[in-house]
Amino acid sequence: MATVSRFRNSQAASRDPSVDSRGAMIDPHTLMRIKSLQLRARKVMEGFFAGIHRSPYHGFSVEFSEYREYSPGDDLRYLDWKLFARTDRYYVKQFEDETNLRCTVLLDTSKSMSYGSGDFSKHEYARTAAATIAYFLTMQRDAVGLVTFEDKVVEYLPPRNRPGHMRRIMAELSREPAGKATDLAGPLEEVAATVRKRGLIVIISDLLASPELLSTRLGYLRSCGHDVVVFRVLDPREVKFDFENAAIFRDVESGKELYVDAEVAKANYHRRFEKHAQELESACQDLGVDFHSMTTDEPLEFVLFELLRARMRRGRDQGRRNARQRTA
Amino acid sequence: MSPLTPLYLLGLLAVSAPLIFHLIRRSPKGEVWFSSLMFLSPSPPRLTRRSRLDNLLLLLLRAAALCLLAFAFARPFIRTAAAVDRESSAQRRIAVLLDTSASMRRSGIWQRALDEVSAVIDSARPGDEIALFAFDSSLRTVLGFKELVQLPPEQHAAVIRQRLASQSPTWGATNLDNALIDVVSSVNDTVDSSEESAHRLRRVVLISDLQVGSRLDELGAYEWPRDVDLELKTIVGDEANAGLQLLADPQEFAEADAEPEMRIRVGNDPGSPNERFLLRWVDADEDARESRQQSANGDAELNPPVEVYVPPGESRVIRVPYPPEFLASPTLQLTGDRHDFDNTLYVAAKEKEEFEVYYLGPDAAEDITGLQYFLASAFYDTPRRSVQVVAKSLNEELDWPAENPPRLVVVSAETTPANQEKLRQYANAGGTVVFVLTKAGESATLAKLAGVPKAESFPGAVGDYALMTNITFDHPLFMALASPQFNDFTKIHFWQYREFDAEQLQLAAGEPSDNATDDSAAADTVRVVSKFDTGDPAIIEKRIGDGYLIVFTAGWHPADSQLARSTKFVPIVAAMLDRGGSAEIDSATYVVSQRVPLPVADEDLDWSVVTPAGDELAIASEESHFAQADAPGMYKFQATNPTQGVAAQRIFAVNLDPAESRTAVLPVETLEQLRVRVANREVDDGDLERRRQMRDVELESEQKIWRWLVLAAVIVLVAETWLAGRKSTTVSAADEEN
Repeated sequence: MATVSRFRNSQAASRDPSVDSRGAMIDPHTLMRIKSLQLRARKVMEGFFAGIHRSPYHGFSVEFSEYREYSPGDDLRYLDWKLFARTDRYYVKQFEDETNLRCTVLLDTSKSMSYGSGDFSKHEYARTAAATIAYFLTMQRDAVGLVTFEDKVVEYLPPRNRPGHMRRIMAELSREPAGKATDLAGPLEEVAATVRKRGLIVIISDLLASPELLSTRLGYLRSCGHDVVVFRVLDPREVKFDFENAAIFRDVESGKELYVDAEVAKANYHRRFEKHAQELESACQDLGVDFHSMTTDEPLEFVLFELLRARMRRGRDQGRRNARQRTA
Repeated sequence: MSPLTPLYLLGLLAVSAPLIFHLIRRSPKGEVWFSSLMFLSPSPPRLTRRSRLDNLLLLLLRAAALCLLAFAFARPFIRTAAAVDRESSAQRRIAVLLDTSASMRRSGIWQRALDEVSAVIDSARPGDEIALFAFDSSLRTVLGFKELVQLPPEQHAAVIRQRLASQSPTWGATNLDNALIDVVSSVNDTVDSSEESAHRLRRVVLISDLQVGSRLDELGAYEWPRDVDLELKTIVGDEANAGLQLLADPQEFAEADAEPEMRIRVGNDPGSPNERFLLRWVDADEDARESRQQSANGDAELNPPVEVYVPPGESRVIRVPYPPEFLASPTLQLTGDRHDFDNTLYVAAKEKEEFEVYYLGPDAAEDITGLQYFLASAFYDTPRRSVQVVAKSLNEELDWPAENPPRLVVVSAETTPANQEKLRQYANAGGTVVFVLTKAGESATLAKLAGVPKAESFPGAVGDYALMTNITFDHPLFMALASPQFNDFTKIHFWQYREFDAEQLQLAAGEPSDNATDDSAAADTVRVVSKFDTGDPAIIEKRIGDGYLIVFTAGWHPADSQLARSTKFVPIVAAMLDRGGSAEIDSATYVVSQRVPLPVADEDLDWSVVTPAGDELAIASEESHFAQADAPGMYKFQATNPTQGVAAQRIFAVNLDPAESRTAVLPVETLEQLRVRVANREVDDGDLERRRQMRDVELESEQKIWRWLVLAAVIVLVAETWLAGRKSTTVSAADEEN
């Protein structure tokens, strides 16, 4: 638990602008200058470790869960003899699932992701995040898979933990996307149908789509027993909409043109954007999906923080659920 | 006011530009790519009331400037009185060209042509110059422009009518090309007395049946002047004519006993309804015809008509037997078509030529080793010619009638001095003497013939045989053998020859000559025609007076050579026969207006030509051609001795130009293809338009209204700038105050 509290502190400190802990983090602008995706991922992870000052390596998965009364047929190896000595009752020790984590990263490579107001696009940021997650989990001996999608699944690498798999993921991530329209619904359905074994599913996308459709598909995933974490990557300009002049706005995906007087349209934009974001968030909350929104000017280490936090919460929730069942 | 370049008025559309700019104040500054438009809604450009009201004057000024510029570019001009159509009032210079060729003899055509001329004269406006020309194979000026100038204007029409009355169709061909070229140049070459007359409209009015048979070749190379029009007044007759044409006589090469016949081409017009024609020999002499009228049935047997079918637009060549001998003056008559003017073909019965060739030599006619035997064998008779070789002994005195000398004399041995002199005179008068050196040694006969003191020959140095080389193939003797397939003489071996120096025939300078004319060009008179491969001359020719002396240094008999037995011998002998031949009147090949070559006239005789009409035209002795054959028919060329009467006569026929029979109307496009500017055609409309345009350009360049428009535009623009500047300053001042 000590590790978890350290996480929390560190994460809270880094999010708080008054506490300057960014010295340890890497500025995304600097990071994106590194060409190799794997190198980027390693740098992010190093920064992440520097932030928490302690390796989370011996993580959360090998943890005692509960005692259960022995019933004939249970494996005698798990009898707690010391407890038997104290209480004269047979109890069997139960642990958290000892198997490795199976994580599938879903990366949106649609055309809207290619938008970027600064030096790099949302896609660049997103794939670095994906690489970081993949690298991090691989280092933990967990199996990592990758799904890239646009309006349908482009590439599917099933979760593996074997030599060379990391390189394949990196190669896949390094590939420049063809870039088409975003349609989250189709790919999520496909993933729900393909990834049968329960595991962690990390979705990295700008989620510029209808929240209703999204919530239905996320529901599919959840119902399959997957843990789902959604990272929403946005450009700062998409959040702020700090345009001033009237201009023809052109959609990068559809090429549609719209004459917009930015000053006039700004308020309306903010209102709609916030509403959309709230709908997304509430939909995720209802489904028990971790939802994190981030802009491309934020350090990438947060991705790992959020991921770990989500995992921790999942573990905690699981423990509570078990306790409730026991008491019941 | 009319615009010169009306397309520039489209520039007025540019007025809409300031309107649009005035309406749209806030134009988009550019375009922005954005990730998604799902949170955006279009914000329409806002218009303010103020923008419409305040800048109205500015808008008007800008629109006015654009309008003025557009008008200036359209280059307007005002049509003034000067632009009145000159076509209607201008004076004209008209050359009326009247076709008087034989085809105008068709029924009704000529009268209609005269009516057309009258119509042109009647339609003349005061001040017009009308000249009249007539043409057939040549152009005749009936009333020229130069003569016209000297006449008072009111008499022009009367004089033309008067002279027109004297015109009638001739028998000539239609040389339309030369006539047009000459008339156009006479229209253009007339010196203009004043500036006004220099601008006259020039026009050639062609009044003709415009038949397909018209000659147009020269027009192809002629550049028709831009300011002369050709107005066609075509007299269209019915196309129902057929014509005759005598083709080359096949008898020249026929066997002597072949049935004599001649080749006639019968042509039929494309629009002709007839296709069956009859050809029949009739007597041109009307008296003779009438006298035999009674025995017409008998004629039909002796003189059967030849039937010929010629589809319209085509021609057929048929063979017609020679005219029966009982016809005194035979002509071939065609029946079956509608027009008679070209239905008679005159054929001069060519007299059989009989030549004598004298041979002076020791050998007999039947001696197959002698020269005479082969010489006599080389001549062959045709239906038109017979050659007889007359052998004369060497000592016999030569004598022949003065009017009928032998065509050729061959001498192969020494003869008497009297004969030598006779032969010398014969050669001087134009005869051809062939001397064959059969023995080496001195030859007095040859010396006398050549007019040199001495002529000596030696036996030639021959190995096995000698060959004839260095042959001058441009010499008449060998000309027939010049082609590569005939000029191989290597098969002809010469066993012996006499070495004779050709220089000996040349008269040395200062030596006395019996003929004064020899001195002048002595060097040119001797020519070695061929040599042996040893370099010695084989055949030498010397010109003597009007005739020739040809020396063979080897004979053609088998003792000397294989020449007589080779295929080359006959052509060479035939060439010798024709060497001194004078120009001959060849019958039936002449057409009207063609120049007929005359035989060399003897100064002692009076020469004359009797025309078909019976007129006798005297011919000066220096004339080489007879040029007055202006009607078809039989012409008689006769020599009259003042004392003895008619000494000799030859008949030649003159026919109509066969092209005159082709009376179908020539399409006007053919003339246009030759770049003739035909008036009243579509082309002319374009030309009128061009002229009008040129006048407009001229007017516009005189008036230059565009300058004023540009000036006005500049003033408007200055005002606009000033107004806009003032407005912007007041607005900024107001802003500052606020």
